[in-house]
Amino acid sequence: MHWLSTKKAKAFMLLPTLLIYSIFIIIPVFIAVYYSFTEYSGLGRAEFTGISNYSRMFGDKLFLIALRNTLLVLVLSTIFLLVGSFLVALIMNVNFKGNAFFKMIIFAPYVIAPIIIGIIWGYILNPNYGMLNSLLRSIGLDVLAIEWIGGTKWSPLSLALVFTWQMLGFHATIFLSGIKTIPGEMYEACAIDGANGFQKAFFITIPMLKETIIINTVLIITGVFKIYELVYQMTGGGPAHQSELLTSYMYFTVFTSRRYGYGMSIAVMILTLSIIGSFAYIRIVARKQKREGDVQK
Amino acid sequence: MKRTGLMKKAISMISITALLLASGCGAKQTEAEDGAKDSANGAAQDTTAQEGQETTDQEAAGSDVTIHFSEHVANIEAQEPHMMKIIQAFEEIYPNIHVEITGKEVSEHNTQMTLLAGENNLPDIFWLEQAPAKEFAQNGYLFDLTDVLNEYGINDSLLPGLVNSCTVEGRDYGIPSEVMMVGFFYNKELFEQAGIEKAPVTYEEFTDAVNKLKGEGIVPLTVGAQDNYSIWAFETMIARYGFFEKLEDLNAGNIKWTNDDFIHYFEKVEEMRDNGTFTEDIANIGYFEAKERFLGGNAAMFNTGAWDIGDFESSDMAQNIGFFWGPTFSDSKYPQQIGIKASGGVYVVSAKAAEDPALLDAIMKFWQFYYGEEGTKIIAEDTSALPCSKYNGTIDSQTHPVLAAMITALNDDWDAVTEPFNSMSTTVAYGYFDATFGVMTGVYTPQEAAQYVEDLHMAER
Repeated sequence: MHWLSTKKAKAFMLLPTLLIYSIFIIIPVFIAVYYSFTEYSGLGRAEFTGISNYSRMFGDKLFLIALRNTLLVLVLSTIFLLVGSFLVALIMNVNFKGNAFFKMIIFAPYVIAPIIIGIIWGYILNPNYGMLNSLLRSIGLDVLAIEWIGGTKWSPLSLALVFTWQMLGFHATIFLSGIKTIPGEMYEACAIDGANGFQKAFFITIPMLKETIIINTVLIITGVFKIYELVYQMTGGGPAHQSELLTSYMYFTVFTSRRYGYGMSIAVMILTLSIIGSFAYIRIVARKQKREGDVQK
Repeated sequence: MKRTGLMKKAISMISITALLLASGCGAKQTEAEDGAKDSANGAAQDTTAQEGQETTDQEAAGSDVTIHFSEHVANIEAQEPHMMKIIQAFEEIYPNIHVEITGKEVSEHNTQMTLLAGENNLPDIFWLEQAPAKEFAQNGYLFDLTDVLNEYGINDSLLPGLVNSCTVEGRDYGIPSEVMMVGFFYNKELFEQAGIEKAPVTYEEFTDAVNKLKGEGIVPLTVGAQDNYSIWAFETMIARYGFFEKLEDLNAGNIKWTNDDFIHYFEKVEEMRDNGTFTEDIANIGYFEAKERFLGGNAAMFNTGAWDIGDFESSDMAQNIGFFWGPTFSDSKYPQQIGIKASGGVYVVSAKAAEDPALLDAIMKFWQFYYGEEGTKIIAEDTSALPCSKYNGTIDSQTHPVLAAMITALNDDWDAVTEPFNSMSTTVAYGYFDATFGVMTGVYTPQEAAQYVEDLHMAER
């Protein structure tokens, strides 16, 4: 079987994947970059306009609103998901009756189509007849019965909460797989030293999960920049585009407003922010780890 | 509110043909056509039908042709039952021609057509809004229908006001898909309950009606902001503030959207909002939910168009639905007695399909049938929609009360105008929709709303 390990054989076996990846991911990215420098309505010839789309972006109030909303959802989702999924993973790691059912329930939202999730939560969060506000009002918490969706303030929070609900099982599963790789002897030694559950989690589990946390964070960042269906179904981006995220605003610009060139420049911006966000985070963590390593030496 | 027997009888005897002649595309026209011309046209249609039968025999020996047709509604059977019936009837006469129809919701459909154009893979025939249709034509994606519309007698079948519905440099690229007639539909029972004796005409009467409805705890007007295109009756309002009179200067940049008249328009929308005219959760519902609320008796008024006649007539409250054009404004110097009575979207033929003579012939035979006597009969009688072609039948107001109300409105002496949407680019049109909904939902002030559209328009000039 030695021939399978040759460079040629490896390259040959990678070829189909590379080909598909290039056709459906790499080439479209370059096409999008090209159109981002043009004025194009989707029909006929695109007219080269240089960086005008990019300069227009920062004077476009709706783009800035979408950018602000996306960053809000990103921050909130990162906090909710990292903390929430880690805690859920700790529970999943405990042997108790019904553990399998618990895992299934937690993971279930991840396999539901986002558009269905949008419909379900649209009904739950509707400020007028939604289940959540009805419940809050029925127990006397009228003050919390806010305009979860449809207003100009709370939609990013609602989107972050729903995104968290949707992705919790997925990220918890990644955490769980990380927790399973931590040697049991470390916990036993810790227990002999008299550590409680909190101390075990804080001094063993979390430090041992650094790589897993990095993976989860990067996945959350890239995931937030892909949210579209939830916005489409829950708020339609409204009122008057006040709850748009970058992806949904890009979609509106391209397909409804038919400004393909400008829409592609937003798409390129989303890609750039996503890459910068992910790499910046990895870089910061790597530097921190290096510093910690140097101190230990 | 019951109609008197005499009234029912009077309406039932009204000929659709005579009434629809009043509708027009762009031009403000109210003149009716004489019956003799209709008779002549009817005869022409008979001849065409005979020719169709002859070709059937010829085709029996030929190979099958399939026409791929894309529509702008997601559920064709429910939303456009006449289309399914017409296709069925057509395929019975032309067994060698098959029409494969698919549909998507309008915004998805528009997106798909643009993408398919880029791939040079457009369906053979499809629906488009007028502005994009012209853009498609200018870029060579559509077949020039000018000659074949005459050759197949389709122009003779169309109502005079709907001929040349979509032209680019004097050439026809589209056939009207519907009579665009929009305004406010109202629930007569709820109006009666609130003590409103007749449909409002002026803005003051409209406001008074809203106040009375609110006094009775009735939601005055249901609107769904999540579908930002659902703003039709408000287009009539901006037309009453001089939209068409200003259009040329708007496009040239001599007038801005922040002009006093348009600001007044947005101020009126703001006043309506402040007065509690709209559904409270306007931002959380779309057009379809808004319609459900109206049909469920949960709101007194709903802004929509003739395409909803079928849904209205199949509802329990069919006999209680009335129609009016929307409020007129005393602070505008522009004509107020106007209504949108024109061609809406258009059906087009892809240039690629027309390269195949057999396919083009099949397509034109389909349109010939659709706009001919049989197709028009199905549209008018079976599915209670307003046909785009001449028809001499009668409508029973008892069976089709909403259609009868629409025909009455069509036949009034108010001038016909087109939908402003069709005179703007897609970008500016949707900007105008967003601006109006922005004021309705309290996001924009009138000045901000006007400036928003102006910025979009300015970028295009």
